[in-house]
Amino acid sequence: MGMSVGSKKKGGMDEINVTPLIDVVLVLLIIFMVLTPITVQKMASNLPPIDPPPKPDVPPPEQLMVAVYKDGTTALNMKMETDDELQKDVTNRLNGRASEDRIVFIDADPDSIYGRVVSVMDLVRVCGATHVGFADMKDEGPAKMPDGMTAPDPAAPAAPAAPG
Amino acid sequence: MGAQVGGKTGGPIAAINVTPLVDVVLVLLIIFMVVTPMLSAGVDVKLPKVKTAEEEKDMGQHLVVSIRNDGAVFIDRDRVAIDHLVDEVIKRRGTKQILIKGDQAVTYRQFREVMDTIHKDVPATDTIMLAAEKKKDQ
Repeated sequence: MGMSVGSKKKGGMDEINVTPLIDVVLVLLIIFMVLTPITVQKMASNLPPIDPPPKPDVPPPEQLMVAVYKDGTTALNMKMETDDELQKDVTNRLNGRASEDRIVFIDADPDSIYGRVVSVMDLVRVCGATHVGFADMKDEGPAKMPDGMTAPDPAAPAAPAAPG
Repeated sequence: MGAQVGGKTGGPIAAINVTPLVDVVLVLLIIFMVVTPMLSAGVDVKLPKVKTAEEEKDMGQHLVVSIRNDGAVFIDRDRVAIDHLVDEVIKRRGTKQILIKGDQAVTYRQFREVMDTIHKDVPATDTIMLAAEKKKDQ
């Protein structure tokens, strides 16, 4: 009694039947060969035309300019903001715009870290930006509001000027 | 007469001996499994991690310009001086899309130097792709 393996009949099984194994392995092999072409993960960035049209003196109020400073801090239209504030304000500002108008510019300090710039770019894309552009790089980095002055709140750009 | 296949000794050969085939195929399979995650276009750099990257199979449609963390610039796997970057890009580009693969630790200045050089002198570069690594969703 007990377990009896194989050889029930006289003829006996000489070998394990490997045909299904080969089938499976060959299919796996082919799957890997097909999947092997490298996947690339990427983001699009837009650049200004080489001969830019003359700049208007006053940037349009709807323009969103995110500055990245040397120390990794950020500002939206010159108002210093943390990542969370930035995410909230940019989302609000982009909300309701047509997808081709969801443009955000990034102005980074030359000495800032590329990885940080890309993560800010990622942040504004999370906020719904469809076009992320790089502003021309300035050697001194993006402008900062002088100490003691506060930039207008970028979250409420459309507010009409106070009368009088 | 004519060709006589198998069964010379009476008992017919029931199956081809597949053991060597299985060996070879298994080894190939393991090689592919090990190598697949290591493959990437261009030079090996530490890419910035982002949430919003688009994923695309690379079937050779990208011209990969890599910036290593020491500032060295490579096209595909060949090191290129910044002065020759434009010539090399134009020579190799064909109809390929330009993909800049910058190490996350390079400075913005180094990145802009490469991107601006390409943008200024290579035609049709109003959109340049930046390679990034997609963060896994939490």
